[in-house]
Amino acid sequence: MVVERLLIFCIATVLLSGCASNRVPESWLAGKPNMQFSQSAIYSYTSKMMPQFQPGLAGSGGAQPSTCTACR
Amino acid sequence: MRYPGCFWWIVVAAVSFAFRAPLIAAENPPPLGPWFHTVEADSEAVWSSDIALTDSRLRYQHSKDALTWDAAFSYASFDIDYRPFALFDFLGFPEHLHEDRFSGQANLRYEMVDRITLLGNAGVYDGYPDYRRVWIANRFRQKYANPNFQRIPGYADPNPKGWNVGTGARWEYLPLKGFAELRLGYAFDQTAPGYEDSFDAMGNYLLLRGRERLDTKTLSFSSENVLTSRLRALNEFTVTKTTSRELRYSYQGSLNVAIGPWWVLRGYGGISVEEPQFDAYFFGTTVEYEALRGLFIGVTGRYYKDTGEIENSLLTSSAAPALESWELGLGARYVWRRSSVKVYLSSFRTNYDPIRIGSAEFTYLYRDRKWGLAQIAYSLQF
Repeated sequence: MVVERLLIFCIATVLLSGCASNRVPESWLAGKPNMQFSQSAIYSYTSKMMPQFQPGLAGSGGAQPSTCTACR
Repeated sequence: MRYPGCFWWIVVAAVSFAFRAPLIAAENPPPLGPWFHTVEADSEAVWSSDIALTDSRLRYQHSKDALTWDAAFSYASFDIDYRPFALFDFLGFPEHLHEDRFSGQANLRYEMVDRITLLGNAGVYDGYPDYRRVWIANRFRQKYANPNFQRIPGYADPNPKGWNVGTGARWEYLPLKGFAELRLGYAFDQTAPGYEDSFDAMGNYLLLRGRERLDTKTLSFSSENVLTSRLRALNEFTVTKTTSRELRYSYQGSLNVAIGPWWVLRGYGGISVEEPQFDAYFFGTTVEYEALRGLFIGVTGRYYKDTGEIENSLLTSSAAPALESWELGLGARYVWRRSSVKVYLSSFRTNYDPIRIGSAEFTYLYRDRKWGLAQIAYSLQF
């Protein structure tokens, strides 16, 4: 009897915790802040200094990579 | 003492529930806004054994009704232990270089009619754009304005600065799911030019000065789409034309995937192509996990490779050889009501191909390096 109660408690607890994800509406997921393409430094996942090192990065086109003057 | 078989399940489940419960409650967080003001401060530092760089920014954003604008002020510093390549640079000497760059940038977004937003931006800077330009400019300074010798006629002290403007429009062609954006930009740069030794028609020595002023025009198109409830994609195409260079075509695709309620995978990849011989490609990913309510932990990996910058010089060139670079980093972000703070630490390498004979005097500039990168950012809404 005690074992059965413990088993029920286990299952109930696991359902309340590990399966909690099922309660989250899926439409909410794509709208999460870390799913956005944000310019904010908080939600930026790149370094603004990296074009100094990697001149072919897509965002670094233009005059900045023309750091060499005897070259193009 | 012997515990029942499911005892440890209870412990694990209870701990998990204790952590998860606040997240479940966060599904419908109480309304905290709307906030009209955002103040953001962020700082980055990159260092290796002989170079230290920083870039810090203070930004204010105001949003109300159909209008959003922001203004930012940035400061960057360059500290370099300059070292000449004595085999090709007989008169050069080691010295410590310090340079600053100050810049300002403003952006404007105005929703003129339903689902169509006008975009505008403008910026200005005073100082070197990157550490390589600082190094290269010092090489020419030591060569043509060496304090131990007479200054070579034709050499001028560099004064790099520039400004830019841009405009565009964003169209929400599918409500909350599809966005198309078109941007036009113009940038003017007064660079620190390069120099070449030459001779005139009479056979007399002549110092040739490279182009100092550059105009850059850009046209970019991007499309952002919510593909499913768990997928958000961004595709960006850019065409760039800079004075005396061929067109550069760039593409970057990004895909954000909500693996689960607390897991997000952000991936991207792209290429850049410019005639006659510059090709670059890159990709990377970040996996982020919301470990506790508001606390996000992430791991990032990135890779980059190019074929080297394009040379058009007669003898010497400061063009970078082919580069391969990769990065591995760890980050954490904590969001608490109106405040957010982010910390990111990483290590990356820049490995260059063997330097060409015409660029030998820049051997130490283009040596392989291991770098450290640290980012910190804070944001407050009110």
